Amino acid sequence: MADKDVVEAGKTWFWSLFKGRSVWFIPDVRLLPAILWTVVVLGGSILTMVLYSFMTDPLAGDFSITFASYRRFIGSDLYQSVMIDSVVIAAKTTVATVLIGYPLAYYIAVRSNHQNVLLLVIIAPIWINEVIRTFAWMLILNVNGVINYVLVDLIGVFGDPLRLMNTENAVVIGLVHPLLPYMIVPIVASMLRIDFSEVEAAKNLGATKLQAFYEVTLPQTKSGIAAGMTFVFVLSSGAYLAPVLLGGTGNNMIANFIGLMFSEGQNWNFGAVLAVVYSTLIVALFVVVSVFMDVEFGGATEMEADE
Amino acid sequence: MSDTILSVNNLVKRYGDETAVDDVSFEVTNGEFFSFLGPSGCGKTTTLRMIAGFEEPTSGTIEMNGRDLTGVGPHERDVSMVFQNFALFPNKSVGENVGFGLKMEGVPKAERSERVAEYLELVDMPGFEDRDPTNLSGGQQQRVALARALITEPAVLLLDEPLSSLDLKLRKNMRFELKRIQEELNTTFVYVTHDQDEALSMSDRIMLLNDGHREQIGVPADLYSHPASQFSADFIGDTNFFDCRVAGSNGNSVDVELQEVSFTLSGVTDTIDAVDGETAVVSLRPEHISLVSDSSREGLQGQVKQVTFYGNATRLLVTVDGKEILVEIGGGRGTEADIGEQEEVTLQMNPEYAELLEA
Repeated sequence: MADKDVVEAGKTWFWSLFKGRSVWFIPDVRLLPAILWTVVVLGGSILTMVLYSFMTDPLAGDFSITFASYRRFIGSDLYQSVMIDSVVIAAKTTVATVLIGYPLAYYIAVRSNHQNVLLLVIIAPIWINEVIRTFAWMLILNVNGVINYVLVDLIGVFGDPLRLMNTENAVVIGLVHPLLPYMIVPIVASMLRIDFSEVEAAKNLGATKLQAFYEVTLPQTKSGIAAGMTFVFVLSSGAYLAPVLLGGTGNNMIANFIGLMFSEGQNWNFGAVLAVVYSTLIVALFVVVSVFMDVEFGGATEMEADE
Repeated sequence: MSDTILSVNNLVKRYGDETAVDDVSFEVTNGEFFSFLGPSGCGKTTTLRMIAGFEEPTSGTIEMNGRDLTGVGPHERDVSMVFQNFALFPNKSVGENVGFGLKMEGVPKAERSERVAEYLELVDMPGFEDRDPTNLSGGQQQRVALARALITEPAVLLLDEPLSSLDLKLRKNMRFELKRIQEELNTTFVYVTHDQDEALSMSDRIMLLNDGHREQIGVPADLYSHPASQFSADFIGDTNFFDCRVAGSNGNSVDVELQEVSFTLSGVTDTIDAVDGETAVVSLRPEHISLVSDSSREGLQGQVKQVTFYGNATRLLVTVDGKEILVEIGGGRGTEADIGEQEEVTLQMNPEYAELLEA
């Protein structure tokens, strides 16, 4: 009898864990797996990275604290300029995806009767293996690739083939293609929430098509654009394969150098420094841009005051 | 000031094989409260949207102050519209919403805020400039939408079922408000509704639409008293239709036979070219049929099926030869206590109120 009671009590206790009680600082027990994952796996790996960046030579077992790796970074122009190049490539990719993605998103959300099919087509590049996709761009951009074949051999617009491969723009093209869906999907989502009789109301009150777009549609898709820009910028700033395959030797991005430090370089402490500094740079950029964007677009009242 | 401001001629709108608006013509006088009334899908909103310029007519013309509006964009027309769902800009404050039309006209900011305050005052919402329109109640949003549409001082204000998303009590209050504002500004209102009470209580004139075509046009009292068709008689108010045989006509008076009872309808406004021996339909409203207790008098014998008490009147559903006839007995006599269900009654028609309609 007593054993049975203990078992019952145990069962009750066990099931009570799934009933959303708040325990200590955790608001709901059911959040525990997610909290553990975030704290241990994500937080832990970042912490390890930060610790490694201050160690003398962790691979050789020398865990003593030093600032030598940071000093090496500060003294080196190469890594700083690679970081700046990486940010520039990410920025170009982001701007290009906005310019290409916004009209496409507008068409899909507002004009099209085949939203689901078109979204599927847009998302399809993500399903293709990254290596195959990037190699495909090599075939298109090469000296004897598709574009040069058409322009030089078929039409004869240019006498000499264009140098498309191994340029910064090739890297941007290779990134824009797979990252476009990350821009389009959030913008489509924000557009679907707009009541387009508001656009009619604006026109009715004397706004031209362009004014109606600027006054009504654009401000309401701001959040979608911001979400898309965040995805694309973060994903492209850490690009690894596209710069290697499409950028040649001169257009390596920071992820390639970090990878090098952890593999052939056997210099984990310096790789960690690059990672920590670059992550900090990206986060700082986001803080600055979000503050700036708020002032720029945020309150319609400020827009009024500018006039 | 009784000149024509809006003139619509033979307007047709087709979507593929579907004809939404079928050869509709009408004229609206300056300062008039003009309503399009009809069931959903009758083409009233499509007609309104063509006046606003959101839809291109398939054929026909719309003229405003004598100017043909064909090919004129919605932003270039001197009309404002109040939308069914208000369509306030959620990214703008109440003040910016109301001032939007003036901003598009390039009115300087200082003058703009003055006018915004003035129009918010007009719709009884002073001091709401900085509020977020999405946090307002339905009635308040309606008022903001009205102020936003009126501030540009349009020649014609178009209202697309503006009260249909409000609750009943608010709707009734807004009717008076709309009428007050219309009279205060003396602006021409073109009002779309499927609610006959709204149309009858506010309009100077009503155009009744049915299945894309114009059914009847006239002042509210005329539409009620002299319906031109069975649809008109049935859509506005309640009525009884009687199939009858034309026995003879003489000028404005027509003799008809209804079962064994014959009537002379005098003062018929439209004799529909009634030919002797042909069948026609007589429409008679429930309040124009009375009960006679003396069954020896000539009338229709029937049995009361249902008694419904409305406070100001009592309605009886009377079965006569298997046909149900609606009778309304008002006020002083025939309260619900007098007549019980299943009771045998004799109905007396008042032919002077009957309308002769085409079968």
